[in-house]
Amino acid sequence: MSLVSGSDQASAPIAESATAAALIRVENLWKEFPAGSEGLLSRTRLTVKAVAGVSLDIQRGETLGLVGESGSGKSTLGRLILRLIEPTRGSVWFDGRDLSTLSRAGLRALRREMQLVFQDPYSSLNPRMKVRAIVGEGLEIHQLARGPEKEARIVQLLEMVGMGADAMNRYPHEFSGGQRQRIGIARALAVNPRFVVLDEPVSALDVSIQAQIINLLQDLQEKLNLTYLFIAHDLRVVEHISRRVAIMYLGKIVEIAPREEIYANPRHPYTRALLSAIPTIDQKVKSERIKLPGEMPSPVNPPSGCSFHPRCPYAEERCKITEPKLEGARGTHKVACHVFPAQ
Amino acid sequence: MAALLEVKSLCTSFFTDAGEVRAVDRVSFTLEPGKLMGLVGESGSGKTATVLSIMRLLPESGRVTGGEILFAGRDLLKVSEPEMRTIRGAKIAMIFQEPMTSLNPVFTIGSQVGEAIRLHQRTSRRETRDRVIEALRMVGIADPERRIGDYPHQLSGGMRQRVMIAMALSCNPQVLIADEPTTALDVTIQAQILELIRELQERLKLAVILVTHDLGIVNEYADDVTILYAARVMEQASVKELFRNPMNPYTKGLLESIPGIDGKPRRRLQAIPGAIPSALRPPPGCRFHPRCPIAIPQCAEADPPLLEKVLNHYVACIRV
Repeated sequence: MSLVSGSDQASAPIAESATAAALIRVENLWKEFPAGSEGLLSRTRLTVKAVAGVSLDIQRGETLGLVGESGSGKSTLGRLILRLIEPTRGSVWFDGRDLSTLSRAGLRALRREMQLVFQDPYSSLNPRMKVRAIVGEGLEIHQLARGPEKEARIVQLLEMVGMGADAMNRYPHEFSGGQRQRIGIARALAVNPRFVVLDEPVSALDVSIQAQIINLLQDLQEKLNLTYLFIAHDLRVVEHISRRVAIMYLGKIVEIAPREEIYANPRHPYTRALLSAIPTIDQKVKSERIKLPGEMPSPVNPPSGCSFHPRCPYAEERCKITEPKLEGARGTHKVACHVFPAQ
Repeated sequence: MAALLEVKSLCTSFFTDAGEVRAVDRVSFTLEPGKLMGLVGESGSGKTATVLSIMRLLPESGRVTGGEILFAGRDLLKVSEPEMRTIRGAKIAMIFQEPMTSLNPVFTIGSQVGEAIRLHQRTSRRETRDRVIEALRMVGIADPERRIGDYPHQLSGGMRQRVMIAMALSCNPQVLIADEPTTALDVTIQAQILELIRELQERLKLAVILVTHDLGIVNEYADDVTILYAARVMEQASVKELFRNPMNPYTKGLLESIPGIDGKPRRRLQAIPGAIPSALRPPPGCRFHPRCPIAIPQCAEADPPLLEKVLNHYVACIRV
C-alpha cells in the first residue's frame, strides 16, 4: 500500500482553486476570547484579542515558520486554521474551500487532511492506550483501514517515523520524549493529511533529540509532499526547516519573509530584538544586542497605534497613533513598521 | 584565586523501588569568587541532583553516597543540619526554574523577601522593609515601594524571577546557584534575566553556578563550563577554550545539533543518534559510547577518566 494512495481523491484539484498555489489562505482572521468584565458590576465586557486581523498564505509543500513569544497568539492562530476553534471573524480557505461554509460532514472530511502535532509528548498521548490504538484511532474514525490492512498500516507508519513494529503493543510511558513525539507524528500522519500544524514539536525535547525530530519532519515532508505550519517561540528552531518565517506579536503578524531574508535582513525592531536575544554558540562577539525594555503588554488592552511601540527603541510619535500595515514594497518580504518599512 | 566551593568526586544516588539510580557519579569542580560556571546537561545528566546535593536539599529518596563538598574549607556533607541552615540561603542561595511554584501565592512579595532576610538576620520591621525595597530595586523592579504589596500572581514570569533573585541575594550570599532560571521564560525576557544575573555577579563578586541545557547561554554568560552526561563529567574547561576547541565527541555532537541563525540553507542538522540512556541501567564503560560516532570496542570496557588534555582543559574520552 502506498502512503499517499488514500489521499488521491482528496487532492484532486477543485475548480476554483486550480489557479491558486496556496493550500491555506487566511483572510483578516480575528479571535477574541471573553476576559471577564471591568468591575464586579460593570457591564463593559473585556475581551482578549488573541488574534487580531491576520492574513497569510501557505503554499503547497512549504513550511511556514510562525514565531512568537507566549501570549502572541501563535497557537490560537494554528488552531483557528485547523478550525479547532471558531474565529470571531475572518476566513480560512483550505485548497480553495472556505471552511466557514462547510457543513459539519464536510468539515469532518476535511479534518482528515489537516492534522496537529502537539508540543508536549507527555500529555498528548493517552496513557491508557497502547501505541497500536493511538496510531490506529484516526484510521478507524475515518474508516480508512481495518483488520490486517490496518495492522499493516500501523506498522508502516511506525517504521516511517523510525520506530519498530514492536512498539505497537506498548504504552506511551515506556518511551522517551523523543520517541513519544515520533508516535505523535505517526498518529497525525495516519490519515494521510496534506497539511500539518506542528505546535512547538521539539520545545519539550533535549537538544540532542531535537535535531533528530526536525530531520524526521523534513524527510517526511519531502516523501509525502506535506505542507507545514511550524509554530515555535524561538527563531533558532524554525531556521532550519522553514521556507518562510512569520513573526507574531500581540495577535498580529509584524513581519513575514523568506527564511534567508528574516535572518540576513530583518526589518522590524521586534524581529531584530528576537534574533539578537538568542544566545549563540558563535565565537564571534555579538555586535549589538537590542535590549527590549519591559514585557509584552496585555492583549486585553493592547497599546494604541503600533502595539510594539512601548518597547520599541525606535518608536516615533506616529507609532503611538497609527497602526502600521503589513506591507511589502516588492514581493515577498512584508513588514508592519513605520520606521523600518520593507525595502 | 582560591576556590570558594570545591566539589570533589561527588556521588549521589536515588533509591527507588526499581533499584539504585546513580544520578551523580564522581563529579568534581571548583568555583571561584566572581566567576560564573555553567553546569550543562540534558535530562538525566545529574545537573540538578548535583546542585541539590550542594544545598543538601535532596528529596527523601536521594542520598549523597560519596565525595566532599568543601565550602570555605569545610565539608558541607559533615556539618549538622542546624548549622547547614545558617549556610543555606545565607551563604549559598538558590533560584529555581519555575518562579511561580517557588513563591507562596498567599503572601505578598514584600513579606516573602522580608522573611528571607529575617530568617538569617535580626532586623527591625522598618529595617526589613527598607532592605526589601533595596533588594527589589537592585533586581530592576520599578517602583518597589508600591510593588511590595503585590501578590505573585500579579507579576509576570520575568518579574517573579526577579523577585526570586532579590530574595536569594537579600542576605548577601557568596554563592548563587541558578537552576535553569530562564527555561520557563520568553527569549527577550530570558536575555533580561541573564544580563541581570551577570551584572549582579560581577558587582557583588558572587560565585555562580548556572545550571542550563543551553550551550548558547553558557557561551555568552559563563566563564567556565562543566558538561555532564548520564551522571558523569564529560568535559571541563574555560568557556573560551571549550568553544574554541571542543574535544569530547558528546560536546561536539551537542554543538553541531544546534541550528544556526544565519538563514543559510543546510540539508540536514547533525543529530546525535539514539536516546539518552536509562539512569537505572547505564551502559558499561563510557556512558556515551552507544551514541558516539568514534567509539571503539574498548570504550565499552572501562569508564574513561577525566584527564587534562590541554592546560586546564579536562576531557573524559579515550579517543582524544
